Amino acid sequence: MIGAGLTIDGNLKSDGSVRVDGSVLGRVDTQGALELGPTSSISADVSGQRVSVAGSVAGNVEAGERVDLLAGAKLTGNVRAPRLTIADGASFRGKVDMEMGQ
Amino acid sequence: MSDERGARMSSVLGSTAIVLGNVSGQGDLEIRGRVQGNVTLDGRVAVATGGLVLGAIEGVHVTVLGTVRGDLIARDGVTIGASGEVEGNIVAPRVAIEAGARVRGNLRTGETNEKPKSADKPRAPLAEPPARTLEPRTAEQVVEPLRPAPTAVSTDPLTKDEGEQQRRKRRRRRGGGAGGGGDEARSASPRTETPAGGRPAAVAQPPAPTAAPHPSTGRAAPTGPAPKGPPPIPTFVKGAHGHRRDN
Repeated sequence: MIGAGLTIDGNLKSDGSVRVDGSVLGRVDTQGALELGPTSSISADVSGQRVSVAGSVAGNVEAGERVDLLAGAKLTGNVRAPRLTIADGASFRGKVDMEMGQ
Repeated sequence: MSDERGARMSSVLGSTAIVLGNVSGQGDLEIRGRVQGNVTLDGRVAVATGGLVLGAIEGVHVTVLGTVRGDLIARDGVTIGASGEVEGNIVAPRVAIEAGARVRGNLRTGETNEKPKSADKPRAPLAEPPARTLEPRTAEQVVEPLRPAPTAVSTDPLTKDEGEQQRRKRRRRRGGGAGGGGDEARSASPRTETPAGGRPAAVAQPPAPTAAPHPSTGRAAPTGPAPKGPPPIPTFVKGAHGHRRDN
């Protein structure tokens, strides 16, 4: 869990679940659930099993299960996940690939 | 959205989390996983048991129960628990080292609250890995431009030869074909004829250096200020598609 005042200038990798409310200037890779809070800001690719975005992401998002863009989310990048929800109020610019055939 | 509560919210890097890079900001941080990079916080930093930091830690208060390979700089104090292990210098007004802790490095205590000047970048050998993984920084790698090899193949015999041919030919032409056999020489070197055709006025000077055709292209060398030096140094580098060397 990365608090709101925290900045990681580099990559974050985890086998468990991660919640980010701060900013990461690098990749975020998790094997579990990845929660990007409303104050979060990620400026690189993001991957996880279940990714929910409420903050801003400038990079591609990849999930093994699903990606949820919540209201207030701002995503500039492509999404690659078998399931995708985009809530009302989320801003999204990019491509979607829901066919996870490698 | 970023209320005070959020700003002061403490962060926890889970036991499975690995951070390759520097961590900075406000608030407290508990590190249970691994950080390869420097940690600079305006708050309390705790390295939990099992946590590992390869890099310097700077904060208001630093508590180490895990392992730190790097300097510890604290404005308030440093506490190293019994399970803590620190390999690096410690700078803090107050330092507590419990029995069982392992510490290797210099210790400076009882100083002013200001962090020392030497603590700006005390030990950051591990800040390098993220630099490699982040895309924008890879542009720093300067690709050395390929410099064309100096013309190992000396064109001296050829240029002299053809220059001599031209000189002879022009002498004949000036003489009004008196010598005879001028057709023979002209047919013998047809490629020297075409480029030199545009410049018959230059016959007064020995045209060997400038009017000599380039050995590879067969075209005439550029008509610059003709070097009067003895060997006709080629102005153009061979094999670099005519890139000039002198710019």
